[in-house]
Amino acid sequence: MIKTEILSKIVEQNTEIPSHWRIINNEGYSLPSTQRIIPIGNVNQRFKKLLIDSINDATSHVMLCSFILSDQDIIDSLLKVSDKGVRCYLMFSTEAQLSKEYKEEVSDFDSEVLNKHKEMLDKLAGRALTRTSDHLHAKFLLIDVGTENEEGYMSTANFTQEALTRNEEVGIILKKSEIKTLAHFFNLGFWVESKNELTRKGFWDDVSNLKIKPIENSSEVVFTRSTNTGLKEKIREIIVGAENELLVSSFGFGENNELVKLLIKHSEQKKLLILSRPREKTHSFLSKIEKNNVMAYAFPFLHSKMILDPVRKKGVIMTANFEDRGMETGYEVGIVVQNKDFDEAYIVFQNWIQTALMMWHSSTNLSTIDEGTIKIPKGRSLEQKEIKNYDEINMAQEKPNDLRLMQKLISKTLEYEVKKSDILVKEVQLIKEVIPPKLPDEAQEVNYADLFLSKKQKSKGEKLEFKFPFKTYLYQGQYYVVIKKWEELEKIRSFPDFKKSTKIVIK
Amino acid sequence: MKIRMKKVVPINVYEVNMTVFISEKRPEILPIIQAVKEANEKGKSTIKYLSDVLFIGFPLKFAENILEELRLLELVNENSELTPRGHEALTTRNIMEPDKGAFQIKTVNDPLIPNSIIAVKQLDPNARNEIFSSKEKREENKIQIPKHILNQKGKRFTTLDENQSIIDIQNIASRGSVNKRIKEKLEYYLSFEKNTWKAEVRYLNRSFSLEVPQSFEGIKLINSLLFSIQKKADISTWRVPQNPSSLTTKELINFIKDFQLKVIEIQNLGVFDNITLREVSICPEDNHSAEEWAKKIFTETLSDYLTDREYLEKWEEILNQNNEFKNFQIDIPSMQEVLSNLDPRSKKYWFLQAPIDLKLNELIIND
Repeated sequence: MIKTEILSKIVEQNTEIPSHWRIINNEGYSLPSTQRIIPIGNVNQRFKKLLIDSINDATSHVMLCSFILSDQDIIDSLLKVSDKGVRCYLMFSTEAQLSKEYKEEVSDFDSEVLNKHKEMLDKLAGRALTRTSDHLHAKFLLIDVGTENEEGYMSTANFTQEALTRNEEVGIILKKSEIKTLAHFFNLGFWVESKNELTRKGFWDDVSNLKIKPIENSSEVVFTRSTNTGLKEKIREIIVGAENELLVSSFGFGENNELVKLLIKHSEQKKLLILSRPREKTHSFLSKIEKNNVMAYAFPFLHSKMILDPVRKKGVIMTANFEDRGMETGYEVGIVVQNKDFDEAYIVFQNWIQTALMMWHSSTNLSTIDEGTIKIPKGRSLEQKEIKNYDEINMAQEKPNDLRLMQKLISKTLEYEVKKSDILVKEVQLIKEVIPPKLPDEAQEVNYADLFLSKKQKSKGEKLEFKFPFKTYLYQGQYYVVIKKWEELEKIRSFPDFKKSTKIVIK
Repeated sequence: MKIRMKKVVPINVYEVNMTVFISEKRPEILPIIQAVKEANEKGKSTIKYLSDVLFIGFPLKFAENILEELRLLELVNENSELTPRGHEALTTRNIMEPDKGAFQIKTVNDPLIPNSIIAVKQLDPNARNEIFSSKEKREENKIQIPKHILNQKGKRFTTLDENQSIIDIQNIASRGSVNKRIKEKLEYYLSFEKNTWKAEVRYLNRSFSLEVPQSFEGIKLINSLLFSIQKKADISTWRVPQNPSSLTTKELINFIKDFQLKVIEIQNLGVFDNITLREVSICPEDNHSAEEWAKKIFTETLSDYLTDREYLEKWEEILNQNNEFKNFQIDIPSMQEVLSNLDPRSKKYWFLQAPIDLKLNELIIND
């Protein structure tokens, strides 16, 4: 019996997918509990609270250095203690540099953050001593240095609300010896590195730089400052001396940076585990090493910077990224972590790996990718795509007006054109319905001879010499022949004089 | 030190009958007087000499008449010889012409103004009759002319009006009238600079130098003025002790100050309504004052961050460069003491506190 035909075809997509981030569904991760190396992120306010409590408890003086300061709670604490007579010494980057960074990385410095920083400067003018310079990038806080109450913190986070609660960052509670060294570093920054001083609201004066005793890198604290590239040297030592795996976290990887080149070289023979933020610079770096022994993970707001050698249990947590600005020049600090501190840093790093929201994959065929969401780097942005294992596509129904046409259609191969879409399907089943033409209800049965004889022949009284075994109908000037089986179509074809204009249908 | 004292002296106007000699420029007479002198010296007849030398072609009578004119002017006596006035005319090139009648004299009565008559003007009786009321006319010549005016008789003085005439009063009536319509004043200035006193009057927008009265005791006056400023003024060195809290930064650093005194009566000199003493040397009142003074200089001149060493150097500079401090025993205060007296929000506070907090002393490399 002739009936509706359902055509089906499975098409396998062999699209090449470029290098991409695979989204991992890790929601609401909890941060590990540590003593000195404090992870920041996922709205955890532990480190921020430590900073604020310390400022509030200050009795002598506060020394704060950050690229930018806009966290309202910290600002309020500074205002409060300055009113109580606590001297506040502050160092930041210049407004010009901040505005430049804002244009480059709006996600971290939106206009609200910048405005809050400027408002902070106005409020603290006259109540704190503030100096700036383009290259002041280190982030640390020292309280009551030289007294019994002295406390200190270094962080990879700037002192903004976003950095101290949202971003993946690391904070460190400093030891006494580290506090002393960082105090010297702060003093160097203040007396030598700074270019401008806020003398009153809105007014900046140039400052003269003094000749100060230089600071030496120690086994605990390393720096980038003027001609001091101790931080870079320490990290180089760790990379070069690594026997196997290296764990690296950074906001950015500079293309021509010496340390980045060393990491690339390391990854050719040994393992490299990267934690980063999906940014153009990161993608450029990963594309160079993705074929090596590399695994890379990311968080949308990761900002922490550290390098860990699990074999030698040595590492550095620093304020600089793996870029020339910070490693070759600038004003940066790194805390060397060993022993117990290393263990804590390692726990923090591993926790992030396990709870990472993105994982890097090199380019591959669509067929090898699991179902899920991926993000493909496109310049400075990411294009999100959904990967599906299987999907059905119902193609448009076909309703031919003649069974001969239907026969052609059902013998044709289904074609699939991949359209640009946010959904990439590995296996597509194409489905198409072909519906056989039916005789109109109003059609009237007629003598089959009308199909073969012309009017003239009929007027002459000519008669057919054969019998046509199929019923014939007429409707609105159109002749129809009804069949029930496909074989009957062949039989019709054997009648040579059968008019092609006649429609062959079912009833 | 510079002093400038000012007093405003009212001018009194009297109208009185006088006989005066008033200097006039009569250049045409001088050659005639010269000729008379020559005639006297040569022992020649004055008339003939004049006629031969000056009035050639004129009859002798002409020379006689001219000579009579000179007699009337009291330049020549009856013997046709030059009088002392005549000789004076040749020297001064001014002729003192006699005049008589009602004169208006403007006068001041002040110990510092020796010539009390400021101006003299002959009065037109007809004009007076039109101007003055009957009452005023009835009061005429009934006022006793003050002695200081009468004493001017026989004295020569120069008026201070626009004419600057030289006047000799030969005779003056003892009674006259007061003209209350004219109300004028004269400003008298007494100034001291570079150890010299000068006097000056200003009248009708013109200035005239006067001689300082011989009896004027300048040193005594200065001492008196200094005592008026401060009873403990050191008159041997002309220094005035001051409380540093009342001084400006400039005064503190330079140890000089300007003072102004208002309405002060100086013995024998009258009442001055404005006295300015400029660049008066000042000094601390006592040791405590000297310490506060030095502290103030330190604080006012503090303009940059200081290490401990620079702090001491600055103090030494202040104490050594100012002689005034050498008379006192001043201990250099500790930095904490200075800090405790500074506003913690002020820039100066940070100049001292920041180097302490941020260890500038330990870190700085001294060249």
